[in-house]
Amino acid sequence: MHPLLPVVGSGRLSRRVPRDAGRASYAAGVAAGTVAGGTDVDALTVAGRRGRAAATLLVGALLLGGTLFGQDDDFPFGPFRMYSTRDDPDGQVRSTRVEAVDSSGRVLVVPDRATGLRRAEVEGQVDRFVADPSLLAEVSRAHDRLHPDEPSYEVVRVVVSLTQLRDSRPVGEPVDEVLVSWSRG
Amino acid sequence: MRWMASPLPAARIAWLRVVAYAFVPVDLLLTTPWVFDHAQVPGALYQPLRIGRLLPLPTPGPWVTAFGLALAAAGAACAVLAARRRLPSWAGWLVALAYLQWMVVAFSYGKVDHDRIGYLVLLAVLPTVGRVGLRDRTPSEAAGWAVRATALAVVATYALAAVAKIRFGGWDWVDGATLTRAVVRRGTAFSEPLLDHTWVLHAFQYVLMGVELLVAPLLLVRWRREQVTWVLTAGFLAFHVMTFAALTIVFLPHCVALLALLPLERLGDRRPRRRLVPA
Repeated sequence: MHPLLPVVGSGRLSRRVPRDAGRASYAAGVAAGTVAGGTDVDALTVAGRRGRAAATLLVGALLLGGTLFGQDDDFPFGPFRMYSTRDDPDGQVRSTRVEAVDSSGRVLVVPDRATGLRRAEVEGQVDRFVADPSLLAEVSRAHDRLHPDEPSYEVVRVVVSLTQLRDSRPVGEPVDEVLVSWSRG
Repeated sequence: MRWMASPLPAARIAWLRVVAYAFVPVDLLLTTPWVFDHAQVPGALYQPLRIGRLLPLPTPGPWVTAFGLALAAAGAACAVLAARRRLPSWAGWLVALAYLQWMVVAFSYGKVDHDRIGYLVLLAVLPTVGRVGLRDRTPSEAAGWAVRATALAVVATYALAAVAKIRFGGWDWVDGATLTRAVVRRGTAFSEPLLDHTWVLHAFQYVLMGVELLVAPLLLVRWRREQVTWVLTAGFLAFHVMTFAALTIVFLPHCVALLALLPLERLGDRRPRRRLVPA
């Protein structure tokens, strides 16, 4: 085994050393398939290794900490909580939607791309809307900006539809409940 | 650390660069174009994530449109440069940082998506390898580390998602009605019939938990038979396709990161058959 051969390598953090035969089957497999450039391994320097080890541990620790103690707010290290809450098999499913009455009198379910806020985003901020219904005016304003050719929303309301489950199965018709409503004027 | 940095062909990184950077315009313009809408949302509805409060990031406004278009163009340019072995590392760092800013614009309005960590790690590690070509088979420890870091992030997404289910849903998450709720809320023609057979959804919650905790870590094993990695990776990709069919949710950025596990360097082979063990 050669300790240190002259550096022929490319990057600042790397030097070329002869392939360590002890480093196993994998590199051997590569050598067999190497088109050109021979059998040298582009190795990391000691500093390069340490830096990478530190970065790996740091991100790993942040991810683990975020999963155990964090919230969505801690993105990108927050918990991966998609579908992580448990729903009671005999409980209710809450499904939120935004409804609007536009200046032509039409009542519509506001589509995701109409106001710049997706349904889940409205759900995420629903406590703020309930506390301050005038914030829904901003939703109407965003719609005006995104779709200046469409009639304005004169009324915006957040409606939750409740579906009863029994033994994990939906029973009966969903029941609607208006959580918060705003109207212009 | 020995495992993390055991060498992989440099060309793997070149191919991953092409795929990952080409995905930037796809993500921005095609698959999640709603982020651009936040340019028109009044600032009162901007609820910055912690990272957006710690760093002096600007409140989204009309600048978001230009920023997004520039980022999409930069991603496309990086993909082309990477294929020609001319991508400077600063450009890779710039794309990684700009994409992180884009994520803050995307997720600071009340909803965070959970499909990004693998892709964010991939964007962050790609510039740590020097300039490499699509046919460069030199075994590289830097390439090995970059691929393993991405693989760890991908596997962590699964395993920590299971941990989150236990944290938020409790040990009896598997016996809850979570998937029923998911189908009630956003079911499709494929999944809605299952509401008449909810035992399938119930059983699948056990499968899901088992796969996330026990099967996903197998992606990190260097199998003697490389087919095992192919089958595992294909299995997880199929899972994401199935989720899309059932709930119209697709973890596309995560799927891009998943590709790091495959021996992409073979795409550069003239002769197709060469024995190589994947990561």
